[in-house]
Amino acid sequence: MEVGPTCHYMMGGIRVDAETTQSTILGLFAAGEAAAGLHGSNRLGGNSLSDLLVFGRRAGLFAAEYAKRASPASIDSVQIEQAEKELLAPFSSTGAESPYAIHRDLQEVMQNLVGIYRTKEDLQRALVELEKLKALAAKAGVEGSRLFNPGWHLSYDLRAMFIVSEAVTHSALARTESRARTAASTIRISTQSGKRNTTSLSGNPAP
Amino acid sequence: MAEATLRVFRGDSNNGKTIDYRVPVAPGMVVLDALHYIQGYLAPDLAVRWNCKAGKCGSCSAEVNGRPRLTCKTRMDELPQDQPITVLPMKSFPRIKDLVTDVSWNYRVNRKILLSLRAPASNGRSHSSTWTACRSFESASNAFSARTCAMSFANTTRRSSSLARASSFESPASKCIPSTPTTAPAFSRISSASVSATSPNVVPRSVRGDSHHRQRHSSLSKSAWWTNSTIR
Repeated sequence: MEVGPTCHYMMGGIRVDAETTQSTILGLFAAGEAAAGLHGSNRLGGNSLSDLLVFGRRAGLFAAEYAKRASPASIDSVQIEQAEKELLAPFSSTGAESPYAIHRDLQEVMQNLVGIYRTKEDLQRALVELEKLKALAAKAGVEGSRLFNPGWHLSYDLRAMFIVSEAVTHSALARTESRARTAASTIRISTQSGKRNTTSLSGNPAP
Repeated sequence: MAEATLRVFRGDSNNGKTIDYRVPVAPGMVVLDALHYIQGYLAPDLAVRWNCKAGKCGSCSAEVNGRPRLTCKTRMDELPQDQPITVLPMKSFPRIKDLVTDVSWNYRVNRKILLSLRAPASNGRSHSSTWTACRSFESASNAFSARTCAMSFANTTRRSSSLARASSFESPASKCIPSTPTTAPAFSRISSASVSATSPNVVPRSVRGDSHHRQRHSSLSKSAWWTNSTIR
């Protein structure tokens, strides 16, 4: 029997307001493992269940309240078309690597370089490796049809996995070296002095 | 490393055939691991549902060597390795793709069970006792997992009158499967496959030791349709 450390719970997640569980995106609510901040840096066994009961209830209550008050969202057909194009791109990628192979490589990078014991060198190497894998993932190809196709689903999930992997790595770098400065690249680390949580913001941060 | 051949159904609701895959066998490996190996290395579009990997949820049910099993609890070393291991979708549910079937029937029944838990019991008493309600729900969820056997819901009237109502729901098995009488030994083998084969700590409390309360169901067809390489 193999015995070893493994990742089985994500302490990080979407930053939400504790009372309403709403994120900084209006109408987006998160609770449980998807949300961050409740468990600190180590969740105690069993606490995620009470987390679900308490904050799942809040999420439901406030999402319902929000839905009652919100006006129907406007749909941007250009965005929809763009999203559709991105989703279907793996089908037209020929001879590219399987999303599963990229997934395995990603697991290896994160396990070996961003594991329990971290060094600055490893973390920086991880960022380089992640960039390489992201480039591969952008060209990942899938076979088969759109009907219940796990390889296709994984090619989409990989994008989220890279976001999380980068956030974890950048946060780890920020914690050991400097807790209150902005890291280069599209991921910006902001920490408030005296607070324990690290927040990563992707994209172009507001000035 | 030892290798095994998995003969897996590939296809959709209309057409399909079995395809052989060679898979390395590691100690402690279960059939679901082998399916994931196929997905990861040989056929990324292989459709297979799974969730808990711990014999609880029933998602990974499939017919392994002709018997309904939870693939996460079916060890490769239990199966003869000198011949292909057949893995086919549950025949009591309509096929969607490969090993994935349409289990919406489960959700419809689940909803009815939850509704019946809220309603007064048939003996006129309401389920005011939280304990009774919890036990009823537990039995219901166990029965849900036992779909692997495609049996009707357990005869748990002794425990819960609300479940008696649940057990009267029509099983999809009775619609989809030619009704072939099953011998008692065959039934007990299947029963142990889905319930007793799990380690003692994961056997649901209300299932343990009272398999005689389960009703036998006519879903265990003896017809060896899976021996055909093409399934229509």
